[in-house]
Amino acid sequence: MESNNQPSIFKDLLVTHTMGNHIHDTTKWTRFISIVFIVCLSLFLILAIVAGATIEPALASTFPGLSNIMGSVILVAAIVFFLVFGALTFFLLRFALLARRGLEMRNQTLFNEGLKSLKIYFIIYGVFSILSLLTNAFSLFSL
Amino acid sequence: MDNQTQQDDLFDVEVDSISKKHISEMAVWGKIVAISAFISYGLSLVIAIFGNRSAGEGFAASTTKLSSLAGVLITLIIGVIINIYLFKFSNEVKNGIDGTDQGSLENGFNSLRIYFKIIGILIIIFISLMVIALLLARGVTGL
Repeated sequence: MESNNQPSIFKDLLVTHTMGNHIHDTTKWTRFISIVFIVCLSLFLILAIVAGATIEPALASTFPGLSNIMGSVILVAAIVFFLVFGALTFFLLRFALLARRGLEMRNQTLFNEGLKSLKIYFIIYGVFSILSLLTNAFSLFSL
Repeated sequence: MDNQTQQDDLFDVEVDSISKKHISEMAVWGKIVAISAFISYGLSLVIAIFGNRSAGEGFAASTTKLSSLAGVLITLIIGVIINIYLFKFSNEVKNGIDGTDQGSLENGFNSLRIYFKIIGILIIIFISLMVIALLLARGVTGL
């Protein structure tokens, strides 16, 4: 009878030593990247709060009738940016932590949850890329 | 069972049906991100070459245009290199899952590792340059 620890020709794909090391290395880098992103987001939030008070009077003097609308547009853009960037960071960090723990504890569920987080990260990034591509195409046609 | 195969099964985590589903979807979105990036870089290059017509003629205008073109080219080269690895990851992982090819799957995750590693190294370089610029600026204002 075959042991569960031994791969056989009937099992299809495995996380081999090589592949596990690649994923382990990937989680190290993604953890570093997401920590930098968290720091950047925190700085962005502090800057938004501090600069918000300065920008408001400047907007009122530059666009006398439109300061409220312009302020709202900037606020919405900042919130959208914060949410998208925040979601990307969250899922990247979640992948880093769960996939690593899944490999170290040999836990299939944690490993799968880690992969799911990376998948969601790529979905958000993909949608953002398509929007960015459309913006670029629009700039080209408006030349 | 030879020693190599036993060592290869060290992580004892399978690529089960759930992992396969996540990896396949990841590959699709990874490819979308990479292709969008390639098209975006192409459009940016076209905009950098044919855009800025309002800048006018003369030495100052051509210098501005050249420096903007150089900036786009540097971004383009780095971006293309990064996204080639993402594209390779998507292709190899898809081949690995579809053809039950362990080697392709390993190569795919190696490409993903390199993709995030390059991004991490670029972040380190960027932070270092920011720190140097900050120190230089403090040195200049401190005089």
